[in-house]
Amino acid sequence: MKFRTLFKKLSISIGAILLIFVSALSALAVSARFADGPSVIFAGGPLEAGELVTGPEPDWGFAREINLIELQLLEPPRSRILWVADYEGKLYLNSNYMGGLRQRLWKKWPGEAEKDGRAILRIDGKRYERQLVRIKTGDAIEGVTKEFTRKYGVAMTPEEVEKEELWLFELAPPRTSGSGVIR
Amino acid sequence: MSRFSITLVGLAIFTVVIVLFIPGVGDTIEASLLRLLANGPRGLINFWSR
Repeated sequence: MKFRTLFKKLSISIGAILLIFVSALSALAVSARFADGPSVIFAGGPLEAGELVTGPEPDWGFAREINLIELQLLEPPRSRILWVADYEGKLYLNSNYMGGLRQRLWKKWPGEAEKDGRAILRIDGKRYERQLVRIKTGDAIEGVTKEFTRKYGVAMTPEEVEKEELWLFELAPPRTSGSGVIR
Repeated sequence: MSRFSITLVGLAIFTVVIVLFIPGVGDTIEASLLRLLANGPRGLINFWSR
């Protein structure tokens, strides 16, 4: 009888802790969706604040000093925080752990970006219209993976790109057609 | 609705209100979760023992 009571109390305590955990995470996830930009973990709403920069291509050299950027796809209009690398005057994004469980459960944006690459980048408080172009082949891959490895201290290799475990996107200037491009 | 169910619903609502309206609570939870995902339990312990 005593054991039963103890077991019941323990089950209720564990259940209450789980309930608090799930409620807290759900609240954070939902509130992030309605916010201007993402939170650290959860995807956010459309990027609205900040001057929208138009005109000629900017010199992206300043991005070398910036570790995190915010990126919003136009469709679906959700934003997230990502790493960025500058290589030969162009900006690149990465997405690791592709093809595994994490991609299926969590990483939807790379697939969405491949379908429709129109995006808004917010970097240093300013917004830029961009077109995400997935890079699968070409000379840039070695340089881009090296730059990500140097900047973030996490090994990235062209072999991972070839195996599609690592996806790379170029943040190209916007274009009029809506669909994503693979190169 | 039993008293037990009402208590559970109340607890969930209370948690949501605390997370959304008390400044810093959401950020701390996210930072803790990030450390846990990145470095496992050791990362969480290091974060809280700073």
